[in-house]
Amino acid sequence: MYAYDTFDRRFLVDRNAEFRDQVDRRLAGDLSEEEFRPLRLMNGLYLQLHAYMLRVAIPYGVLSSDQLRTLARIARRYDRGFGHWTTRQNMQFNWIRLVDAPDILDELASADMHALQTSGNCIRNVTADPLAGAAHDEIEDPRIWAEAIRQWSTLHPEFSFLPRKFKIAVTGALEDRAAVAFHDIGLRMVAGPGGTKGFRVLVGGGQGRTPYVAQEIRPFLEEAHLMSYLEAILRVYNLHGRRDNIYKARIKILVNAIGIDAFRDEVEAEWNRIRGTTYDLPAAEFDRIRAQFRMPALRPQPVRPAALEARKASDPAFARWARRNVRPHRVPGYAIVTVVFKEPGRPPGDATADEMDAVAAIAEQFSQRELRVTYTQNVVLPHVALADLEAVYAGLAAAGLVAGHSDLIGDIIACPGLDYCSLANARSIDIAEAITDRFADPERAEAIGPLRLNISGCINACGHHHAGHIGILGVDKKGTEHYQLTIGGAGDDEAAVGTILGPSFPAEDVPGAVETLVETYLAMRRGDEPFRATVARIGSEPFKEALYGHR
Amino acid sequence: MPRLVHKILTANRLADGVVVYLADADRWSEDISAALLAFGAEETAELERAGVAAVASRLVVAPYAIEVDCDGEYVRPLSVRERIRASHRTTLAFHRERETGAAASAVDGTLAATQERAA
Repeated sequence: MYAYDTFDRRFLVDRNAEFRDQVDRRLAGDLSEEEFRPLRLMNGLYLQLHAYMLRVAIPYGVLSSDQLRTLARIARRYDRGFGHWTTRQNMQFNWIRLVDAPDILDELASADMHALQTSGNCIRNVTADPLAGAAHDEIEDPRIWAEAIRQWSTLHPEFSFLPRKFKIAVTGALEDRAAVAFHDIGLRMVAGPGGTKGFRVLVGGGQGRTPYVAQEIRPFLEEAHLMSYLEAILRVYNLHGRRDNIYKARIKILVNAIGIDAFRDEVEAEWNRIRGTTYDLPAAEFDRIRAQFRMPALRPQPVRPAALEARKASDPAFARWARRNVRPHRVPGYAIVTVVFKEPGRPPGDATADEMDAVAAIAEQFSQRELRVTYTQNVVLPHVALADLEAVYAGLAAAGLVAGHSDLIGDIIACPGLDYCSLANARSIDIAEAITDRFADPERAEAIGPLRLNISGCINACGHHHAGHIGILGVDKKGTEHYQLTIGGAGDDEAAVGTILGPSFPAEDVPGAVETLVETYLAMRRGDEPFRATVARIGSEPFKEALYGHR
Repeated sequence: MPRLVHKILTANRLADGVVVYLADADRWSEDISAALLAFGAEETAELERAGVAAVASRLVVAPYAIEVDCDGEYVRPLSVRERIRASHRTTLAFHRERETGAAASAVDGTLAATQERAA
């Protein structure tokens, strides 16, 4: 993991002292709310429905066990005993007192953490493949470049007041597990000629009220030029992005308004002007960062432990957990474990302080003290020996964290919705819980197969509903909460925006409507064809007919 | 018979962000049933003036008037959003239930219960 040096630590201490002074001045009346609001937002502190909310940055989703314990301590001491994994690999606390915020930031800083770049019209906390450094299909560890982007973008003077927020995602693997095509800039590591490495650069993706899948601006960019190319894209956006209309301010609107070719011409012209100067990362600095992401020294382990195989054969619940939540690791004898915070009854992505401590202890003992947060609101243990899987399962079971199954219908992405968010039109959590209850039978969920169901409480789409195989969007219909269903979205290699099926449903009808979509799929699928493939083959009409045919 | 719609003034407390209601000329309560009721534009304007004063005194942030139903025994916001704010309730109920070992479906966070509440 990347370790802060004295410069990083000094920076956070100074920054926190500055914010403490700003809070004091606000409480003393020297700053009005209008003056204070942008200052608190720059430190991740929002005012939501019930209280202040602090969004803590977890750069590219990487956490140490000590950092997770710090989050648990904050949840226990300053919140109501829990936190919430966000859809951008961060954690937010929903019941924060303004007067406590400076102390919380100091606690975070003591663990090399902060809340910068989690709000405002800046380059937000960069996201990445949560399996980085452990995945078997990796060309290069994306954390190296994600860390370089973090350093470059933190308080970048030219890009701290962009037309709108700006999100960058990086993956170094063959499979996209970072939803790069739904980001302002998506970076996919690809192999180039002569053993070189570089990026396929995508631009202009995003969700919200105007969803777009990102377009390719450059099929191959040598990795050595990444930083100058990012600088060029941001400059063109900063210059031409609209500042007169918040709904048209994102880069996706600019790219689609002038066309990808014209946008590319502008970027390439700017890039040709600045490339080869001081913008790119010096090779020595790249090497310094890369050295911090070295694979931990993993002791040789049995590739097929006999006890593990026997347990799978005798314990169906364990076998299912192992099938769904354990993935191959690049080192034989090891695995990547997903801890799913989605079992029936749990608000998606909520984690209690005790659960955080339990998972931190497991990571400490069995996963090289490392964890990752996924944008699907789960946590990954990246380096677990196959021989330790039973012990990890036992620890997670004791914490109540083995009943959720990764990438099945119950693994719902949901924004906080109207339970917390001042922007929301409708609740997301209640709907997610009702659907999870309806599909609680793990055998049935597994028989349905991989199905990504995403819920947003408003058109801002923090719950990624556009990218759900089934998407649910909360809308306000004459003062009541209604929900619009979409189908056929995807956030992975075949990124697509879902198709709206028809008029919205009242909340109580949503689980039944989802059931209808699932039953229609089961009736129409060929063999073990996954949900998305069936939708791609037959289109949305049979699903519309099933939902609305009787009307 | 047309429903009598009253207004009350709500805000978030500056120091901790908690939802509060204007209860007296200078007192704010977390309990919506203690809220001062206004009927008509003139009384509502009076509440709003008290809100401006409370902002100046650094008690609250962003006060605004909301519509409520009341029958003398209860005060109930008309909008779902404001009913959620008034409840001071969130998914916290889930965590309490887990700690006590009770069934999650018994908490007020379930769909059926919230629909009933919203009805």
